[in-house]
Amino acid sequence: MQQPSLFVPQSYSVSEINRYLRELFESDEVLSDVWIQGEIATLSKPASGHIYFTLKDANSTLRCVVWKSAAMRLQALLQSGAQIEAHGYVGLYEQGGQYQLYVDAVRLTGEGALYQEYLRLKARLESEGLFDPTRKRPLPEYPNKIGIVTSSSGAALQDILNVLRRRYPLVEVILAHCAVQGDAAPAEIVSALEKLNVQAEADLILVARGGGSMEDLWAFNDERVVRAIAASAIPVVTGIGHEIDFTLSDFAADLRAPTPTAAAELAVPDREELRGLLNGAISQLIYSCQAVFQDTRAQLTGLQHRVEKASPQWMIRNDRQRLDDLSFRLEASLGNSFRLMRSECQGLSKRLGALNPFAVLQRGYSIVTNATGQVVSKVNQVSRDELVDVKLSDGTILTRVISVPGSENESEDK
Amino acid sequence: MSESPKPVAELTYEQAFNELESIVASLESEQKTLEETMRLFERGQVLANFCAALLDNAELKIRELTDNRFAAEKGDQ
Repeated sequence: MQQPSLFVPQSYSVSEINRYLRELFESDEVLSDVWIQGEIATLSKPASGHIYFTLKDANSTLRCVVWKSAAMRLQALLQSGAQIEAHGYVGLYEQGGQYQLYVDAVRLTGEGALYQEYLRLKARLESEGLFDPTRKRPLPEYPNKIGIVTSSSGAALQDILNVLRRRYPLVEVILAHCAVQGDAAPAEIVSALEKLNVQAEADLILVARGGGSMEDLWAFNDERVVRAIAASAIPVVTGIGHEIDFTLSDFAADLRAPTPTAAAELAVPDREELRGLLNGAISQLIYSCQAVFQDTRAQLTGLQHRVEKASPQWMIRNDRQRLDDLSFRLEASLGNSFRLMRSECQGLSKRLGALNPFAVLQRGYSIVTNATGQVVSKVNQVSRDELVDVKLSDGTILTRVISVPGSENESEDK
Repeated sequence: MSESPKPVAELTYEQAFNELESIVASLESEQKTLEETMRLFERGQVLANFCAALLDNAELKIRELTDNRFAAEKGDQ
């Protein structure tokens, strides 16, 4: 900058001085590559796609701008009130005469360091092949025993148990309690995994924790935990934090679920679906057997008829019928004979009645019998003074013979 | 299918259901004698009833792995 002349003090246009200042800012080593820490205030995201905000601390504020090209990448971290470290260069906005930070990178304060570590560890383990997709094992379709690595007092455990009760209560749960945050957590998680592996009872392990901050979930980025999950002989499903949280444990697991609830859902089949499958199998079983049973029954019925025709029983039945027929006819003919004989008998009886000797008594005849009951039909059968019975139609008269012609009377006459 | 099938009560759901499926498959694919069909049908029914009962009556069993238990089991091995 030239010194003003003694006589004619030189003035500058606003543009000139702003351009001068801009060049001054841009030539400064500190200002051209700097991390600045502060809290985001007055955040604005206009339609242009650029992001404007101010960083402030207890005493001062600094205007910041994020060009559209970087805004896409950084906007998730740029939340009003967030404590951040912003990286970029401090320059001058000539038109407004204001200096500002042109931001090209942002990290969350505190978590920033953790996140760098996370990325370093992730890259290292990834290069070892720990996260290799070919290492992922299929989960058992119908697990019998599920080991759960989580805190026994956490909400995650209850979420998991609720899902298991609803979907697949056939399973047995083996809870391996451990701290899921804090300094002791990594060692406890590793120990829980090892216990489940050594006992070799579970055929699936769920590693779970409910949502929390990055620090809360940090134990699941611990190298020991990640390695223990990768080394587990039993397949591991992780359900750690929320949908947006990706821990290194998730990458090492055989299956990563977004939440504990989702982990339980992915771990077991659904009872209702199983009922459907089972009913289908039962229908198929019945259907495939029915055809055989029906064919066999038809064959059997056909054979039965043939056997019956050929059997002595059938012949006996047949003969039996003929016998019945004959005996019916016999009875019928016998009955006819009896009727005939009976009427003959009645005729004879009538004729016999006509011969009844007593019938003539009605007409005035009488029958004479002697004392011995012999019928007297000739006069020489009685003698004089003999008592005889004279039978009339309504009774018998005892009579004395007074004379007998041709015996004593004739001799007396002589 | 093995010659002497395990008692159904000792099977897991998976084993029982898989056996039921293989019975159905073999009934559908091959001509069987009546005796064999009857035997498979009866076995299939037992398996199906067992599976349905498991689905209907199962209660989630939960136990906690403790260090003591762990130590005791390790000692046994």
